[in-house]
Amino acid sequence: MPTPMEVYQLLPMTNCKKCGESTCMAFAVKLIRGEVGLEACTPLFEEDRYKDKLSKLQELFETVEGATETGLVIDTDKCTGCGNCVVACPVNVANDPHGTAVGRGPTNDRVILRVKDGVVVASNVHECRRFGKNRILCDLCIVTCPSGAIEFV
Amino acid sequence: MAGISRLIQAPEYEIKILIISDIFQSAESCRGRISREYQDLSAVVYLDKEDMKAWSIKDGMNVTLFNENGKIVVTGRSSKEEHRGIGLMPPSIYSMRLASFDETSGAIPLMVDARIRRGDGEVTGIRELCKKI
Amino acid sequence: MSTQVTATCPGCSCLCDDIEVVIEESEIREVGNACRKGASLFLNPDHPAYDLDAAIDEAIEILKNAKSPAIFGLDNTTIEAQRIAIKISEKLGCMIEDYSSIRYGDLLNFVVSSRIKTCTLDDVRDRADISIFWGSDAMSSQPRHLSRFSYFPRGEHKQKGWEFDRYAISIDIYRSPTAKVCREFLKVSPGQDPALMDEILGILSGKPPGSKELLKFSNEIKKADFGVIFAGSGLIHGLNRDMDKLIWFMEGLNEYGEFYLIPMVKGYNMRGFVEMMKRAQRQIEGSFLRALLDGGIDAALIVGADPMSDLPYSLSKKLLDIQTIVIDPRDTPTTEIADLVIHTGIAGVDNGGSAMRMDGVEFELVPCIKRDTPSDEAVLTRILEGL
Ligand code: SF4
Ligand code: SF4
Ligand code: SF4
Ligand code: SF4
Repeated sequence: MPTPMEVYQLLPMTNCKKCGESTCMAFAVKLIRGEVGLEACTPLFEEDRYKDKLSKLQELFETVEGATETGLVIDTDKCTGCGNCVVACPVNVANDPHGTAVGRGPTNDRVILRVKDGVVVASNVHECRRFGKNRILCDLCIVTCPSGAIEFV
Repeated sequence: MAGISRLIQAPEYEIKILIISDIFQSAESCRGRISREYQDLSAVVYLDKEDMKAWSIKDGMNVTLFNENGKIVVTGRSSKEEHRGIGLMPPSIYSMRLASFDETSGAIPLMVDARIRRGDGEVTGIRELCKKI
Repeated sequence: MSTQVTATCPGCSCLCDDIEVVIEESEIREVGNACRKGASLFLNPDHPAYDLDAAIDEAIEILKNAKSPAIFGLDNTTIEAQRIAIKISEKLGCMIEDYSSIRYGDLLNFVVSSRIKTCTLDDVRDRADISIFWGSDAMSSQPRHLSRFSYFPRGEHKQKGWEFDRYAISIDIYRSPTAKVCREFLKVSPGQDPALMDEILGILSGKPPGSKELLKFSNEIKKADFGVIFAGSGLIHGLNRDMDKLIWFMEGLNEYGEFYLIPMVKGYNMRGFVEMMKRAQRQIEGSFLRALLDGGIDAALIVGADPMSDLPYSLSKKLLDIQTIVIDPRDTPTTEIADLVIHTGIAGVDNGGSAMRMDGVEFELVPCIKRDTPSDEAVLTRILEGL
């Protein structure tokens, strides 16, 4: 995943504030977290001299295609379907106390993570603790994964 | 003659092979153990990155593993973990070609002494290993 | 029209019984909750049809003509098939063996006869404070073990969540995927497991610890009311098969809390075979491997196993010299060299039966689709009748 510095260097670096952020760096951080879209930086699109930077940025964020709105990306090639993340996710536990919370398959549709055809799939991602107004930096699905299959971008 | 062939062969190094389960290989083995997919996941040795540098082995390069029990050509892959001098292989007809049976204890070893060298042609086919030599 | 059934997975000795299978036009379309390994079993295509009657006649011929046949494998088949295989061995007066003593020495016998204290995986989920993976790598061999029982789930007396309620440690000669997700990893040099046991019991009785990790681990043992060792073949190797040492260590731990051991068996029904042998009042006589090596066998009936891939070449090459009948759902190097292959279905997918989880709890395997492929049990029954 790109670092804020890498993204920053591809932005106009003028701190013009047109995007609503006070600095390009702040914008870069939010961009990586998926909290803002590239289009908010209007100079990138309006000024021809940023053409190369723009295409590089678009390329960079295209690679994280498949990311959900919270930036949750699952590399299904790495996933073993062990279900550690499914059982450890606090939202799964809260929403499905008789299924995933006790180590079994989900008993309802309100879970975020579940295993299908041997790999994890995500739904209801808006409920993820990393998302929304009261977000926290939850990383339980990441630290419980034996194969590094989950990332947030 | 033997001297010349040794000269043109890549240098050999000592290696310990640790035979350990790999979930991807074992998932594939549920479907069968003759297929190309199974071969690709079994005919491999995961090597320490530093060892690879020292032995001039690149990720994806074929390597020859041999000892008094036999010889196989497999793909060398770089391991995510550090284990100097140790190569990881999943249990299969490949790793078993190098393993010896401990007649006193009756155990099948998890750790095998072997030697490694770069190259030497195609990866040994599974059917080839089923034949009598 | 699609239907959904709940199935039990014979992918490993966890026997997960919460697998959601979606069936459409008598084919499995989707598999929920099973890990990668389990899913690949359920999503396996069927075998092409073959002449079963002829195959069974041939198997009977081979066994009848053999002077010293043997039956081998059996850890990946149902209890019902195991029982019949035991009967065949009685009828033929021949050796029968699975992989349990090859891989685990006397461990299974000690567990089954209660000489080593054991508990169920449900007890683990509901009560365990500490899970010790010793020479076992669940994440690679029993992928849902930690999520279903030994680390992550809430249980009856474990309501706060794994971060607060449980401690998991991996003791192994390398940093396995299980070690990566456990709280602690203790690296042990090959063969140093007995010394490590001495050291742990030493620290518990007040000796100074050799490392911070060991001190932490010992403190966790002291804190724990309920602990479990998940013993893998790595531990058996590390102990050089010395079961007395293990019994001594377990007794030592039990002075600090309730400590149990569950063997992390390979083969979904190895535990079942050991139990069935005990119930049939049979013991493994001799060793299949040694007999194979010494040329003491002239025919082998191999059920649900792939010795060509499991045994060192010095042994497996002997299979090429004898008559071999292989009963297995898959194509393997062993079916490749066999004189006769009888492809069977997978229990829990194509056929029914029952099996024992690693902790000895029995589960029924109900077929989820209808296919013509016969079960191991059906094939073995017909062989027994024909003898
Ligand atoms: S609009 Fe673009 S150039 Fe202006 S501050 Fe935001 S990121 Fe920087
Ligand atoms: S970050 Fe936390 S809440 Fe979000 S999916 Fe992962 S475990 Fe669940
Ligand atoms: S913990 Fe990792 S490997 Fe396991 S199911 Fe989740 S994403 Fe897949
Ligand atoms: S953990 Fe074992 S029993 Fe459970 S789904 Fe995976 S392979 Fe099947």
